Amino acid sequence: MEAQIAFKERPEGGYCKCGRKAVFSRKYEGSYLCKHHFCLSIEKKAKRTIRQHNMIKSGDRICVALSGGKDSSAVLYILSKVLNGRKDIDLFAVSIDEGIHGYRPESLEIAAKFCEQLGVKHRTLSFKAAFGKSLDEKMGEVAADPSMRIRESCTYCGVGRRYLMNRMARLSGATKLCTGHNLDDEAQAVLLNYIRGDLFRASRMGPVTDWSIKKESDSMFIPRIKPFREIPEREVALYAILKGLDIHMDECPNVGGIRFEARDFLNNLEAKYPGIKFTVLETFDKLLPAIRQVAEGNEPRLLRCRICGEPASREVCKTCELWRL
Amino acid sequence: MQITVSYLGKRHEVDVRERPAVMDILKKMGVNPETVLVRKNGEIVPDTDPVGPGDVLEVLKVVSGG
Ligand SMILES: [Zn+2]
Ligand SMILES: [Zn+2]
Repeated sequence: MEAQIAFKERPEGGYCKCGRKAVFSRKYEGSYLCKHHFCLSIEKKAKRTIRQHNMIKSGDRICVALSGGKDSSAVLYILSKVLNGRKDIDLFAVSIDEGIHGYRPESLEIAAKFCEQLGVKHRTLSFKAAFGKSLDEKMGEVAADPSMRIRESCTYCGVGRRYLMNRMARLSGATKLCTGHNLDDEAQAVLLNYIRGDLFRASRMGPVTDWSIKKESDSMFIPRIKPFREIPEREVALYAILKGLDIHMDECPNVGGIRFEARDFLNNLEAKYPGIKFTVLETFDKLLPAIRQVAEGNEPRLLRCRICGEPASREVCKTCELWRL
Repeated sequence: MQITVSYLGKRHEVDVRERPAVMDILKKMGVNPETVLVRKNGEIVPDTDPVGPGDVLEVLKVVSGG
């Protein structure tokens, strides 16, 4: 009753259905949630996504790509909670040290400590060890050589990171690679693939991302799962804060480009029309079977890179082209 | 009424009408509520929460990049 009186006095505030003071107003649902019910709803949603799309099954060895940021930390936290006591499923984490001055060392320390707390095995792999140079050193070379066609650090970083993650996961026997990608990431990717006309890439999206091609018998790609794909980024952040996770909130100093514009575009729409990010992803999921049909037959032929042996669409894979030539 | 708001490591004094909500203050600062979370006097609050004289707001940017 007290809650109702208080609600009248402060009409703009909000109370959870349980009567407690709200920490969050979820506009696309028209609900107010207290700390307890908010966290519960995030865990339920992640579990539902995992179940609905058969992301995890008995015997899986799950490798979580852990950056030390909010998304991957929260997804590891929830997985370790959900899988606690499951002897038939193995969980471990891998971090990549790109070698970005003033950004990476701190977040890697946080990642290592976090895994220790959760009792999850953790390994770090650096660009320097894998490619012979850090991202900062690579970008120094690019800056000094105007003839280099690709100049954006995000391309070098992203290509290298995806490559190492897949390779690490495969070599450590993982059956799934789990990432912290959230609804914002997914909705942005939908728009970007559309804008770029990249139907092959689009056809590989969806709840379980599998880059292998049917004709390939022994796949070199570890299927990727994204338990947060239906949870907005802001809610993942709130979950991490409310659970007291020690997370690295700093932004990568190198980011930029068209993805930013897609992000701002979606956030501006979301503020005016709550739920728009869901609609973008839902519509895409419905179209996916048709997109796959259109993309079929147009897949790049898969070869093995002559330098590293990883899958490649040409004689030399993209990573070796960027990092090793 | 003036409200003290910290955002991206800076302190802002924002002038607002009587009894605004958190989102009114964000709007005044040109910040999209979808990109932030707000602490009022140390506690996370919904962006519909009312703000009164003496309240201190801390705006946390939560979307990645830029
Ligand atoms: Zn509640
Ligand atoms: Zn290669």
